[in-house]
Amino acid sequence: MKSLTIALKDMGRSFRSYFALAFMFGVPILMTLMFAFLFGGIGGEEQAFTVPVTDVILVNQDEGSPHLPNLELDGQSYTSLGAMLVDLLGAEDFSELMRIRLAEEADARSAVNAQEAGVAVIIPPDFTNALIGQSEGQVAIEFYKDPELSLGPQLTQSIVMGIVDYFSSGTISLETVMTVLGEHGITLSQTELLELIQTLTRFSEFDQPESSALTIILPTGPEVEAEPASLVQNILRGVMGGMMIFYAFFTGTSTAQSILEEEENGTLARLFISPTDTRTILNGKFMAGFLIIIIQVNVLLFFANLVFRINWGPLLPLILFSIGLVALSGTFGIFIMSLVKGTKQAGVIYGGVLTFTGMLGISSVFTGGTPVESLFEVVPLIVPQGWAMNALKASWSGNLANTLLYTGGMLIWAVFFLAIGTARFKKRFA
Amino acid sequence: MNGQAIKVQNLDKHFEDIHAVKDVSFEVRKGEIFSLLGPNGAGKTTTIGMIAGLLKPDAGEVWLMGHSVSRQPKTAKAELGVVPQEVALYEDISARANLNFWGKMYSLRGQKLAGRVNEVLELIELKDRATGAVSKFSGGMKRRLNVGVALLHKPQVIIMDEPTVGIDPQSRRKILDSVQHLRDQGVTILYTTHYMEEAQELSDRIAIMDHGEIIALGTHQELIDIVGELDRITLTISGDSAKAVAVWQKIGGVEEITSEDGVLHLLVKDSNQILPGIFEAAATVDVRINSVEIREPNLEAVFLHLTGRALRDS
Repeated sequence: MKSLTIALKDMGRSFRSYFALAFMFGVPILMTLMFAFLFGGIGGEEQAFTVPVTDVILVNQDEGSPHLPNLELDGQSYTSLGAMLVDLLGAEDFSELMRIRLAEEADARSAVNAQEAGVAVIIPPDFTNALIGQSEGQVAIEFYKDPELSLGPQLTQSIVMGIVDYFSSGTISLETVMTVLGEHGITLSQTELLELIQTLTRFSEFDQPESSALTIILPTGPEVEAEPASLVQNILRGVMGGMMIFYAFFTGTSTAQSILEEEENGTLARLFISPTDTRTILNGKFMAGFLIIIIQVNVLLFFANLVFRINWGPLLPLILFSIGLVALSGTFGIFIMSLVKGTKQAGVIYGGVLTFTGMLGISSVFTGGTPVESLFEVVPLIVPQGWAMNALKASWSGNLANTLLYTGGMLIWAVFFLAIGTARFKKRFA
Repeated sequence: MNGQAIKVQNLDKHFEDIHAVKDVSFEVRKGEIFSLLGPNGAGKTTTIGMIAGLLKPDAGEVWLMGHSVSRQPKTAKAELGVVPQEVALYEDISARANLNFWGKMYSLRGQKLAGRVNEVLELIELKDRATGAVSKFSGGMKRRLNVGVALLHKPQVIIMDEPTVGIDPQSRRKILDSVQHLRDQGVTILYTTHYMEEAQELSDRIAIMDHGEIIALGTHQELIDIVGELDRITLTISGDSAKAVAVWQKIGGVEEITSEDGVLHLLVKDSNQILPGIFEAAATVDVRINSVEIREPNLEAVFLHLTGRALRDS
């Protein structure tokens, strides 16, 4: 009961502090708002998402395939899937994202080198053959991009890969249909085969989803039933998630710092003089941190969902992540503050330790789509914030196994921090 | 242990190389005001830190209302209210919120807590400022609230560690009055101070501490008796001091004369009776008296007598 009294008192004091409120809620929300405005809105359905138009150079080296002499889409004939890809990329739908032009490979590379274009998409000569399974070697579309840009080239890459996936799906479907027909002893004439191919590679899904020839069905289940988030929402989700983790650790540390503040202003001694044992007092102080972070995390999650329409993914992994974050950031604060002698050292903690570990931990938010993306999925795991970030990512993608893995890691960190921090504080106040 | 509110036995405490408290023993009777008087650094705060259970003694034992502080800390502490030397309050919340919180720490709840908070606010004369943040209070108001927190749970024993340091005379007077009011209600008070006048005014008994030791203990009169009943007259003169000493020694009631750099100290039985004779005798040997200071026996003189140092200068 006394622990709760202490915790509630600390909570009340924290929520009276403009400084604490700014770090708990203000800064994470402002940072996300800043990114929202940077990307042209706050992600509402009515508001258009605008990003700078990327100059894209298409190099179509596709020589077509003798197996597909003539392709037709929406009344238009093509000699190769590469040509169809070029035409699709030039569609008006993408005009707000990409400014397309065609060039030879050398010119395209030069233009990117000179930063006259953001990315060059080089379609290989054997592209059509590869897609219909007639190529023996491995064929790859090359994305030659300006390393200073990340969003534009990444968008282009996503769109191209999306279209290619549809091509591939069509091919797989064709093979499946041919196998089934063969099993029944049915063979198709060249004309029938072409009609089938054209049906399967009809990409009308872009504007007529209901008449799509081929639908890609994602693994289903309650965890992935949520509406797919828009690109801007994905960006904001990363930013808000990262900021939430970053500042949850600040809150944990700042709340634990109140132990040192109370030691310095004499109220802790007064607590020890009261008929309250040390364990109860420390429990109360620790509980305050956990309760404050619970409120902070919940407010930020709800606010982000409400205002930025951020989809945090399925509930169970999100709850697991939240429990891990509360435990880890709270105990991290206890651990850090047990190492310092007084509040005068707190500046070093905030400016150095928390900022460094925090930025490293959430760095994967900002390295997505860059050459170091995969590296920054792993390196941040040397700091606790990295585990939290990976747990959140696993959570919003509905990957329960990975959420459990990273949340488990967070809880192990938390047990370590709590054990060391408690032992040090108990020794200090023995 | 009947009749004893506090019993301190052979307390000893070191801080690294500093021997802060040296084998201190004393008892405080129920209902009395007992002062620990001594200069800064004498070991008063360390001693009460051990009595309050805040510091663990290297040796010795403390009992509060018969409960051992080391073996029955919760029971012992429940009997105790402490007014710390520095204001120990949450300044960002109100006086009432502070009292509510500290009351709960002493297991007060509900109506009982609300009633006591109101009573204490009345007592410390802060009822009209109860909802304002403590950070807006004057130093004196904070000190009064600091005292109020210690009174909330109606403790049998209250320790006040220099509660009047650095406050205005009006607030100081209020605190001293409240101490006497508490004693009248039967509360035992252990009061530490380096102000001789406070110890003199309030205390039933006084222990004088210096360098971690109790060097004298008793009632005010018992301590005065250590230096005797003599008044001290300090004179600055111009003229032959030897001649002055010679004629003054012949005056009845002058017990002792010492001379130091043109300043003469006379220990006399009754300064008011003797002073005219001193002036007359000085005139007969052409000695001019430039200034006179009379000190009746007090705790300052006792401390000077016992340590060779003035209490204020220590």
